[in-house]
Amino acid sequence: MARQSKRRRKPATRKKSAHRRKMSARALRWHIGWRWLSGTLVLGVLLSGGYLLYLSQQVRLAFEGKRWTVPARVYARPLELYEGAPVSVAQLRYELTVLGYRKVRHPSKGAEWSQARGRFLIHTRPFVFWDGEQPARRLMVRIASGRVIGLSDVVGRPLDLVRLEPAEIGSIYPAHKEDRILVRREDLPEHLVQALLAVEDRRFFGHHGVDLRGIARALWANLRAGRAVQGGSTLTQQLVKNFFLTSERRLWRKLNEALMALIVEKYYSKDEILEAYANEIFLGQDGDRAIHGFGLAARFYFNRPLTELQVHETALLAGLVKGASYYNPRRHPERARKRRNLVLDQMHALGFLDERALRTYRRKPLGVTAHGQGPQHRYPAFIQLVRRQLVRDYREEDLTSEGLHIFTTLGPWVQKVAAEAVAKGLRRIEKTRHLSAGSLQAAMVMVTPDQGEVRVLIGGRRANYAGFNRALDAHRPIGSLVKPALYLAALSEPQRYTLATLVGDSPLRIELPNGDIWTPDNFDHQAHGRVPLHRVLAQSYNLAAVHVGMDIGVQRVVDTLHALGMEREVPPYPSVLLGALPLAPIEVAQIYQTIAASGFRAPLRAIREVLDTDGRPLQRYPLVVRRTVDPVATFLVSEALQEVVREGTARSLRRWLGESLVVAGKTGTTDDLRDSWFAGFGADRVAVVWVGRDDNRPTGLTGSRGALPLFGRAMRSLHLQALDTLPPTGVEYHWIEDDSGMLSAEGCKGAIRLPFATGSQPHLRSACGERGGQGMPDWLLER
Amino acid sequence: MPLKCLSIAMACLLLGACGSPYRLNAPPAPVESVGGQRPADPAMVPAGSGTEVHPYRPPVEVARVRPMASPAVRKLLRKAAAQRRAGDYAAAQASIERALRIESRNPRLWNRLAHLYADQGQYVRVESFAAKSNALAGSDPILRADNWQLIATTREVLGDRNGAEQARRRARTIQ
Repeated sequence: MARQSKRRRKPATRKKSAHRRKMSARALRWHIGWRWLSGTLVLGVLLSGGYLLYLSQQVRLAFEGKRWTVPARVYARPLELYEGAPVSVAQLRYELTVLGYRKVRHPSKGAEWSQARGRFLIHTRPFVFWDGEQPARRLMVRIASGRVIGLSDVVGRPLDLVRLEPAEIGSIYPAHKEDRILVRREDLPEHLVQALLAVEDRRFFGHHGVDLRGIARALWANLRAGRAVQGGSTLTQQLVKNFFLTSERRLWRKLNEALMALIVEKYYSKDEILEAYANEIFLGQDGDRAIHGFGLAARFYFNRPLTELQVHETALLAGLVKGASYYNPRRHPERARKRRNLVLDQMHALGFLDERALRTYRRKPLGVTAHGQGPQHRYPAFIQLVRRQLVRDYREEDLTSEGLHIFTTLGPWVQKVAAEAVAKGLRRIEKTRHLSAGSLQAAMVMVTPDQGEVRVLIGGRRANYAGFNRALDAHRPIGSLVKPALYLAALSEPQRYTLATLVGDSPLRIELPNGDIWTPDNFDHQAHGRVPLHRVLAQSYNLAAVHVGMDIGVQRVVDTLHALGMEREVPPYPSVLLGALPLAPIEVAQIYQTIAASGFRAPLRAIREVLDTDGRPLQRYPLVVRRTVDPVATFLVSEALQEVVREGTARSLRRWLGESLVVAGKTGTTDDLRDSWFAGFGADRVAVVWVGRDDNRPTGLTGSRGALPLFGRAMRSLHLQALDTLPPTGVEYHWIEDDSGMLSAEGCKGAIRLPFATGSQPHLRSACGERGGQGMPDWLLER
Repeated sequence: MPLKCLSIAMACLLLGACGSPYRLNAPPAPVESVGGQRPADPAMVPAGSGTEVHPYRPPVEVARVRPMASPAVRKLLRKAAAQRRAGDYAAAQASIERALRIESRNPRLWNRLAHLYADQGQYVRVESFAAKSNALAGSDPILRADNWQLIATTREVLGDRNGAEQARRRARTIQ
């Protein structure tokens, strides 16, 4: 029974249980489903809550942490104006243009100027210098014959000294190439905000981050047009997109963007959002540099601060938001003009512009500066030098993100003139010497003699091309440019060598440590017999130089080079005596700076001061000088270097600078005419020029045919000042019979007047010298 | 009121001049006539070397008056003096360096820099600036003497007794 019942019961049970099972399975499924759903829901809520939290955390971090990397901005030296300042009309015009000042008929506000012949009216901008803020000023400057002859305020009260703000010459942007100039909300011109509202987000001040009405309107507009003609993104959404997200166009990203926009609006005010937007938005590309924010865009397109832009200019910038490369005003001016006018129309439609203003602004030209005219393009070589000097003291990330202000020594006008001289000079040489056009390269470094401030650095014939920087990185044998150091070493021993010492210019063989025999030769392959030392230098005789060098010792010459500022270690091989010594132009400039400054070495500097982002002084690079070589010997060498120009290998410089200008210089030529060098100085400038080929093949140019004309051309335009060095204590002048090296007297045949270290003059007198010469003043006869 | 202003201005000027032994508006140094005799510089004659002693004859080029500092440079000198009084040596240095960009061969400016470094105890830099000032000073005995005095003090501090004594002797012989 049991069995039966069991059996009987079995189907029932089976049925029941099946049913129950069915039920419970359904319930279970339901149950599980429910639980799964609720679990998922909870998880979803938790997750999305967590996600929201995460998002808002991200948003706040991005906003409150370091929001933007602001590259260090680099400035030229400020132009000092004072009575007597050597500033020409052309220079002042140029410097004002580089500053982005507007030439107008009647200057009425900051950064405007007018000119009537030599009379300038200038309204300056206020500027924070190292030593405090200089307020905006209204100046009257009068210039005649290349000098400032009057400086006063507009009511005629004389001013002693005013400096113009320094021109911005570049920035040090980071590896991700984002460059920007930070602007604050209050710096945003109202018309810029209006322009943005008009074309990007009309209800910006009304919505909470997402504008549903705007989206609907955009949808409708797009539907009607059959393509995407309008976007519904608010400024906040655009900011979020720029800030956090990639540019992929997917629903998920759209959703994220909307969420984040809502979060941003919850935490931050409209003004804060607007400020962030104005600094973040991408507005153009400049080579590998990305232009972010309106502050930099104003500089990049108009070379002016944002606050100085007019309505049609900010309208152009607002128009770029939609597509900075499509509407690039330099590449597609017509497109950009249409877009700008559309922005102006929209502003008019919203009542921001009246009919008349609209008509006026629509007619205005675009007003953007030409491509490549921006400061970033003008001085790449110099900026590289600045960077190298900075990385000794600053971390890369501080330079590229902390918004430092770097004040340098570059002279924009001098640099421009020198760059033109190099470019023109090379073209001319290639033409007259029948060299293929573009085959020559050049570098130039120009510094101030007493302070060692680098005013000019040209790294190649296209000075605005950021390529190989020959001024810093082309190490070429310096040839005869080494000789002043050699003779400085010799003349530092006045009992052995004076300018009148007769030196044998005769063939010689020198056995080198490796057993090779070195037989130096003169450029003209002649030996010149016994020649006074000053003439040996003036004519750049090699054989005599090697004789003198071997006599005093190569190591002494190397030591003198070090004292003059060469930092490189050089093995004292005899060939160093003829300049088998590869140096970069900037290293040579250091050596000649010391000579030009009468033996006071001033380490070359490209930077004066560094301020932090708020204009507080951070670091100064002070002027340092050190007397490192004998002043008397340095004076004698400088005198001999004047003879090089007067009647030696650099005679042709007189064609450029006139017969009477007292200037010192030295030519240098290397084997097979591969490198052409010239180094020279007047009272106010020292410059070194190199001309050669990048592939190091012969150019057929000596120092006087290649580098010298470039020096001459630049210095003629810059009105190099004549040397007027005072003889140091311990120098006296004597009349010398040049050929015999004996004491002579004024009026005697072949007598020349030479400086000597006190007591080192020759004691033997020539026959004429014994008689006391002819027609001499009494005081010379006293002896 | 104007009187008060004037007296304050005068006081400032006087204070400004206190930092150095010569005044900002000192009259130009006397200049010898060309060919005039000048005593030999004893420091240049090696003692007991038996060398013939020649009287030093200044060449024509030396005999000239260095022009007074321009108004621009005088303004910067005043500014530097005020900054120095306020203890802001870096700013004072910056002002003098600015003046040097206008008149790089003005020996007074190099002298001021030497003083500023001495004020801050950076003695290793003092001598070079003072020497540079001397190299440009021509015939300005007051300035030269001050430079030598400064060099003497510096050498003393740096432990170079003999050098200090030599410099002091030179300062004295100039005066």
